[in-house]
Amino acid sequence: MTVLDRDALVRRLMGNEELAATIINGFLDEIPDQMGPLREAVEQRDSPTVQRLAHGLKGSASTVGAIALSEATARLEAAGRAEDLDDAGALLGKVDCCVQELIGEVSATSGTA
Amino acid sequence: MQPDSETLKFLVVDDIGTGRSVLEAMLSRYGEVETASGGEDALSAYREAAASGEMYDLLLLDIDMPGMDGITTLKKLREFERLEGLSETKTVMQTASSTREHVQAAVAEGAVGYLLKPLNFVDVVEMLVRLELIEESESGLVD
Repeated sequence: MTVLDRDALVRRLMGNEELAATIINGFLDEIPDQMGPLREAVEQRDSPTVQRLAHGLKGSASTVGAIALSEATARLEAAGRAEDLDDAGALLGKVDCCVQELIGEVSATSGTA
Repeated sequence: MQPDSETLKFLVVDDIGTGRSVLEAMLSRYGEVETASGGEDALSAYREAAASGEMYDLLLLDIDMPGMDGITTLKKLREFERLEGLSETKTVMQTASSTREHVQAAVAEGAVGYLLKPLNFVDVVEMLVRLELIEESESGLVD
């Protein structure tokens, strides 16, 4: 699973690498603010909030081309929508993992573009 | 009259911060961009714009927002325009996954187009040209 399709983002921005980097970094800065409440909602088994927050994170991830994270959050959003949070802890773990991979990939490639 | 692209005024409404920054970045070369994170925020922006006498040339409204969704927001903005005697702002809906019903409801409220997320710069600019907000020659898409 692709962690970050940076090329697709750059193409959508008409080749503007600098803008792509700004958008990706802006997204990474926002993630902690989104993950905290999402984790709390999962712990409290609050399905509507899980659905709403996972949906927002999915949208941002999709916007920047963070494909794996977008798919992981889509699964958590679906669990929230179905009001079935039995596996939400594991799904959140997967989201966490994708976030770490994304941060790793961005730091590994920053400055080389 | 063809609006001067330097004075174009956009309002981007999206609950997702990254979505707002992407459109802001794309549109800022064509005019002034304001953003709102939801329907209530958009209404406040409308009130301020009306008070200043400079309404928006284009509203870009996300359909799928928590709380007040894009369709409800558009209805409220239209109601505000009617009450204030303002003309309808050109409106483009943006969506990652909307149903035909959503799009029809937006069209019923006078939306003139929609953009699929994740947004593509070329699609956004082509929309500006189609809505006659900018000339094709100033789109940056033609060599």
